[in-house]
Amino acid sequence: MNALEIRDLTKCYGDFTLDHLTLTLPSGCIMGLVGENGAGKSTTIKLILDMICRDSGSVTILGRDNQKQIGLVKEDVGVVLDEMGVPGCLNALQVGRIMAGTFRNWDDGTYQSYLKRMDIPTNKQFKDFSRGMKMKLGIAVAMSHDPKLLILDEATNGLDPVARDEVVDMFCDFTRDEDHSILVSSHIVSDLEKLCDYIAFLHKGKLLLCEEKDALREEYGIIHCTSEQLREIETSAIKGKKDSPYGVEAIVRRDAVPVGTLVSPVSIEELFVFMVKEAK
Amino acid sequence: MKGLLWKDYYMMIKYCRMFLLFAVVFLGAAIMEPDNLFLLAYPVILLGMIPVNLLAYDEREKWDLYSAVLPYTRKQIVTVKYLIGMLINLSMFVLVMAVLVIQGMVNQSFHMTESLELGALLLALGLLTPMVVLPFSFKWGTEKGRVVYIICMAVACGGIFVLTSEGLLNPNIFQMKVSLLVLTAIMLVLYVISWQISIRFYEKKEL
Repeated sequence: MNALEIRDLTKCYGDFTLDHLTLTLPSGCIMGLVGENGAGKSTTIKLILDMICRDSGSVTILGRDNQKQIGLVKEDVGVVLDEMGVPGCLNALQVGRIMAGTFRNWDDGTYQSYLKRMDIPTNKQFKDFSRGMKMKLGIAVAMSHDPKLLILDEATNGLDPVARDEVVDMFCDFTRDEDHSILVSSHIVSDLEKLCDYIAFLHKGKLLLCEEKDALREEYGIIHCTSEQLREIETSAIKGKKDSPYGVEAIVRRDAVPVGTLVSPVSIEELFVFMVKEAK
Repeated sequence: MKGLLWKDYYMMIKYCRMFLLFAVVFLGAAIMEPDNLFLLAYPVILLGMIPVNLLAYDEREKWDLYSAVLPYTRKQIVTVKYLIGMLINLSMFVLVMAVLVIQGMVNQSFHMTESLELGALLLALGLLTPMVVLPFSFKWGTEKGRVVYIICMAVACGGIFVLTSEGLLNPNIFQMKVSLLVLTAIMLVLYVISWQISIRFYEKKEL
């Protein structure tokens, strides 16, 4: 059973359309959803959680339709949004009590240990938390009710590098269980590179690609050459290029490059930036 | 729904403490002035607004977005507000009855039937604000809901003034042709209808 299946998901706003998005997150894997501002990442997450109505398509979470059994579905899904909507007057202990009355599988012991591990004060009001502390509380809540799927919308934004590293480790521990999966959207592609098994690129509501991260790195590389040398490579193998007075920098499919051409490794961030610029 | 009730309980303690203080002061004053119906009616109406205020705080704190990721249905999220409205008004009914009993003991003139009718009428009055405002707030947000409330109150007050001037409404509530208990029953039915309307509105709302 896949953790998440999205088929032909479409949502139209006046000036933006999420256009027939199709994605599959296998169980036990982590998928990174990468996109620039306004690409449709948050829209996708809201559609998955049935917070907004879809125009067409289907979403299946842990084998269940996301509209027909949404209450049951959300028991097994931990979500961290980019803004934690916890009332400012509450402290972490009160949040724990509320969540204990919310989730059937709420584990207060686990929650308390996350609070301790992430240095979240228990008696301070939420409105006095820093942005990073708010995100950490959201992560603690999301991981304390035995979820099978975590959905994280910009969850590591606002965290300092040490906290981010710790949280990434926690997510890696989470997916050691084969039944646990994560869908994470972020601008911070370097975090996704460390964490993810699959990468999906979204640009203006369209899915540019969705592949295994390691396969992407093996498939693509960067070359530095002249315009004439680039013309020798088939157009379909060029995913993006940047012209400069000193030559051309291009992301290419490795198997389409002439033998002897020096192909450097490409990071996911570079791949994404080049592909988006090409798409523009 | 336990989690939602706990959340609203904590928020009431923090944000609605002054309402409770006003209620105590006004009800205390009502014991001294048995002929002043306003001292009984005002705290009931004031506390009746608590569900609407809690909804406004939810919107401000973006709880409406966050609660959508929790395993609650939209129906449960709406129901909690109506449940809190009913619990508050029932509590006020008990307090008002207590005040009327004390008034009766002080003045040595307690009429059970009239007191019950008055208590029931005040219960209905306390339900009026959430009944009118909550559906619009769930559909369009609390800012627009408040505007609708002001318009409805203006229309209601104008209507009462006209009906009283024409002799169709007796200012002495105990001499009205329609039993106050029947009026209260009608209000309770309308409260339930308002609850159902709010559910329909909120289930269709995009967050």
